[in-house]
Amino acid sequence: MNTLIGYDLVPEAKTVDSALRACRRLNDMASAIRILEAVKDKAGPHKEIYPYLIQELQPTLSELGISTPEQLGMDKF
Amino acid sequence: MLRLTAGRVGSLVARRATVALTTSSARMASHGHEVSEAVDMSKPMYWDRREIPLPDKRYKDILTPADKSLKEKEKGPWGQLSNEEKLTLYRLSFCQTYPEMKQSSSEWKTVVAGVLYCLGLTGLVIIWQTAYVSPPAPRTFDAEWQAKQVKRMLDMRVSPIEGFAAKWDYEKGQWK
Repeated sequence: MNTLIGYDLVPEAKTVDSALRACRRLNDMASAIRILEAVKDKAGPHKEIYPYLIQELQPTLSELGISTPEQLGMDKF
Repeated sequence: MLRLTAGRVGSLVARRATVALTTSSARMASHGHEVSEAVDMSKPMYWDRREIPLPDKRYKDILTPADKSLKEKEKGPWGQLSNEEKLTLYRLSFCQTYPEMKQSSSEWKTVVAGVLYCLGLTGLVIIWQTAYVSPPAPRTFDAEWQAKQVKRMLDMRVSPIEGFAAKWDYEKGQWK
């Protein structure tokens, strides 16, 4: 996952989906939220990428019960 | 962050200096008065870094019984966890969120203030120096000497086409 974030790209929805499912297998909710935060950070100034990604991932998020950082109020402090 | 870097540099220097018979923490202990504890770099460490979302280990090592029961609940369906519980789980594993990591500090103001202060001190030193330390200026700096020098340059026609003497109107005897 760290290697993926090291690349100069925003991961596709499919890739993030697999990563979130891996977190579910490992019973690690915190990492799932961290991955979503990291992917948002990777988009940098292109603010339209992250909402699109969340839209694509919405089925998985509801299935696994993962909240986005925005839903938890983590994008502000 | 700075503390970690200092520890890293300290242990690197220690390792390079000895013949590797003692560990850096043992050397620190034998000195008895070193400033910070040596971080054991051979074990997995935690960092908050934008490019490393999932560090080598969880942030909180020691879990209270409440945390442990939450971890047990995490093994079940995540839909059952409330938002506060999800946040607690996050804070167990991670120290800062991404926005907290990315927040800018006001350090630059201190830096600029420090720079200006040092420049100011230097300015004061120079003022004092010109008043008390420097010898008197040579006679070639006197206004009378300078006037004679300019007259001589004009008489010599120094740079008559585009430079010095070109700006002097020789008929009228004044600057153009």
